[in-house]
Amino acid sequence: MNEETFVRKLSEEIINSTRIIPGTLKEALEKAGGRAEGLEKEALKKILENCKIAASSRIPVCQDTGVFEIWLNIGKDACVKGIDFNRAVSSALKDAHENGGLRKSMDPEIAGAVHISFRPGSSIEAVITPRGFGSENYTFLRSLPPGASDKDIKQAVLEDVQKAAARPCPPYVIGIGLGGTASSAVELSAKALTEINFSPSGFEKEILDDINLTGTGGGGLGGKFTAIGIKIKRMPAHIAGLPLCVHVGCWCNRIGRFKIETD
Amino acid sequence: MKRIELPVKSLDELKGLRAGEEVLLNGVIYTARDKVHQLAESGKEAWPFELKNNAVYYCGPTPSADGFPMGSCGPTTSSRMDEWAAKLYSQGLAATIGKGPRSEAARSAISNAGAVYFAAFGGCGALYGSRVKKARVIAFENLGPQAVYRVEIEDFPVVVGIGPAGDNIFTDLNF
Repeated sequence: MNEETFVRKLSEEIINSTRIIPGTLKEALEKAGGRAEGLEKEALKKILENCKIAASSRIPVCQDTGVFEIWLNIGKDACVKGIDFNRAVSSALKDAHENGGLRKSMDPEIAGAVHISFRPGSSIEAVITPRGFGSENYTFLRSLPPGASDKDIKQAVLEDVQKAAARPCPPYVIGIGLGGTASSAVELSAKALTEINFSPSGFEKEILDDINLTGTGGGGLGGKFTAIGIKIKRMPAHIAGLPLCVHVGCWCNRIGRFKIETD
Repeated sequence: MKRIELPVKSLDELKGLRAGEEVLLNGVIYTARDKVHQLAESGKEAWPFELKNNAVYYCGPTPSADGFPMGSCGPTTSSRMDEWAAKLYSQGLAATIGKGPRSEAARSAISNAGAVYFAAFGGCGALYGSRVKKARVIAFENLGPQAVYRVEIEDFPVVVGIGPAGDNIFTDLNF
């Protein structure tokens, strides 16, 4: 594996991530569309038509092709000698913006965040999220008391969703990070957006059901599908506090992924 | 479904529109978002088009590509432009187009003017791109996606968010 090959693959997947939404998300949107009524049904119909146009052309799903947050999981036995991963990400972003019809919402060579971690094995895995700012602006961080109950956590999430008030393009996907430090809670909730559960159970389902009683609706014009998916990622917390971060993600939860064997 | 031709000849053409009503927009609109509002309303630059009877689209498109003159071009969040909305409506602006709820000050300015706010479907940039016939930058080219585009549109699907009578679909949702 050399840097040029990696840059080419990364650029290609960055572009694809802005045009093609994940299959599980599309299914969830279709399912909601089938059960919605009135303006909410119309909004979901428009969303699905939009995804179809983007997938069959070279046009991004949403004009806000976002700031990119990228996770790179590098196998400890991977042959990556000579690859400067930060430089490779910059080159791939630059190439994708120049050749992939992406909007230059900021310096196109800069990623919002790059998380590099080392794993067993010899592959390189990338997870790419273009994050539009209509929803990124509705990311909420707070610290709950260490003894916060599930009810307190749910209450906080509901407050955040209400504050977003239809501005970040519902139906939402809700990424939640709990525990660690403030910065780890933010990263956990961002990572949660890449692992959204569209058929949640237990506590996740309880929160999703309550969000859907708020009436915001898919499309933000009223309805019962304010959110269609949720994921809580946790880590242990200090005895004195419980950081909570909530990403109120837009329906257009774009994710690019690839894995390359370097052997 | 009602079709509205933009610019309007008179704001009277908007009378009778009700919050929640779906309409199709046709004709010519102009994009302007955060930066252009800041520059024009701070007096540093003039509005590069006539506000009277026209419609402003809160939008920053992707580059044109693949036969789409304005790339992907869905609405951006309208509430960020609320602080300037009243002044623009008082100068005869017929409509703004964007996504999400507006402030009470914006709502009352719309109602006083007998104008309208159209809520476009958020995140649907490719769909709106497919309804653009022609687009060209008329000012602030240096601002990239924040430049002012003159856009010819065909059957742009929107919902009346705030009607000329001041009725507001978002108030019903307790926003």
